[in-house]
Amino acid sequence: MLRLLDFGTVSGLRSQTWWHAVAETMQPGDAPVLAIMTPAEAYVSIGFHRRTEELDLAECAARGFGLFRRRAGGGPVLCDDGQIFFQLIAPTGSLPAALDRAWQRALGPAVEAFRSLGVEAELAPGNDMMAGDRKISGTGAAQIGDASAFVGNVIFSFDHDAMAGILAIPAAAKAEAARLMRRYLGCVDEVAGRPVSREESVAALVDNYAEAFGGAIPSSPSPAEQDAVRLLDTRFTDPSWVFADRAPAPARIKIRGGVSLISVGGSWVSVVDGRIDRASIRDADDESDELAGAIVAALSKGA
Amino acid sequence: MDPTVPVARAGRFEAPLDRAYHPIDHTWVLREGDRLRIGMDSLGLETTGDLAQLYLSPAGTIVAAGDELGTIEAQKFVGPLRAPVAGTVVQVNDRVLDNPLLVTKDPYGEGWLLLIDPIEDPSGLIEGDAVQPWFADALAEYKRQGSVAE
Repeated sequence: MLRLLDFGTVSGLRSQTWWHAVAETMQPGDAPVLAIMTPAEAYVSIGFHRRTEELDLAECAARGFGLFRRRAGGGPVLCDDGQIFFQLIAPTGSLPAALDRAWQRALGPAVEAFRSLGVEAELAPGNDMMAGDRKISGTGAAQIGDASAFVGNVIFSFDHDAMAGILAIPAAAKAEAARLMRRYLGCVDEVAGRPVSREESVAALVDNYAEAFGGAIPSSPSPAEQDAVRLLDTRFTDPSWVFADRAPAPARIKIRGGVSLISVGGSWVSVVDGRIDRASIRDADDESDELAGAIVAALSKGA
Repeated sequence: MDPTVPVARAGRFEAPLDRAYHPIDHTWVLREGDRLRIGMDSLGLETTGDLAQLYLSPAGTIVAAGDELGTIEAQKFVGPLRAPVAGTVVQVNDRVLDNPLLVTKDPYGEGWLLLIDPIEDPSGLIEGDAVQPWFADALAEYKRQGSVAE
């Protein structure tokens, strides 16, 4: 049986800290939680291992976007009120040990929710939620304390130009990134072929997760979760957390599994499903080695 | 890894018997003089898949057994790398930070993670004759869950 925490609309900060608080306070044997929320304002969320130098921080500031680092993996994403975010949080010991099976357990009900809305959704290799060749939900996951949290979203509208704009790449590469996003990301109305309301989407998520986990009981945050969220509000706005860069920056910008943009100096190359889709090469003498290496890596890893 | 070292085998997975293993976290500990080399075992890595990102606490970090010694990222999932022993990190394998895939490719050799100067003797680890039955049981449990293919 699930606890359902439908937070409605919350601040951008709380759209991150609430689910981290639920995970941090979860004990082995606790009921899993389905949390659902929409941020009131736009912000940028960066994956735990990623580098803030991947972002055009001046552009983020100019657009008024806050920046929060999540514990979950994946790259930088733009979150706003055109999206509903959902998180399945469960004691780690209650989930399969193999990550691919844990993903299926945690996000399978979300796939079914999309299908009930008329979307031919599937969980693709790499754990992107897809409809045809379009990614329809941004996903990520983390083990936090004794719990694991799997997150996704339902996208009603998306500002591709703003998302491309916050990336630390030249203007021409930003334009190409926006083009790839428009082509390979899908809002729920587009992939369902009809208007889909937020209420309908939330109901589909709740119904399908309840069916998969033996029911769902509407709940409120516990005192422990409320205490934890206040501490997390402080941590998530502390520069030592936000700007803690932990790993080398990836050589490419991933749009979805199989689609990526490589930007080196003034040159860029789009790789789509194992082939070079478009390219603009400048200053090849200076950049050729780095560019070639990144292209080979992207092609060999399926972009 | 020294090819003359005897190994425990379970299915297609191996566990060299020159080191000790954390039974839950699937990390290994190899004694080298006064220091301990730390890595991840092949069975645990099978459930994780290829590592995309890796962070290791820098040299000088002091950890208790069970503390977060670093983090791993695979399939967009970030998980903790827990210290199997208490001690001070004295060296990090920079090669795996640059290329996390090395951990999966050679988990008992070039894919090692850190060297630790232990504060106390390791405890709660599996070693010697106990490795083979533990390793076989762990594989059987993963197969029962469907977490490792037959």
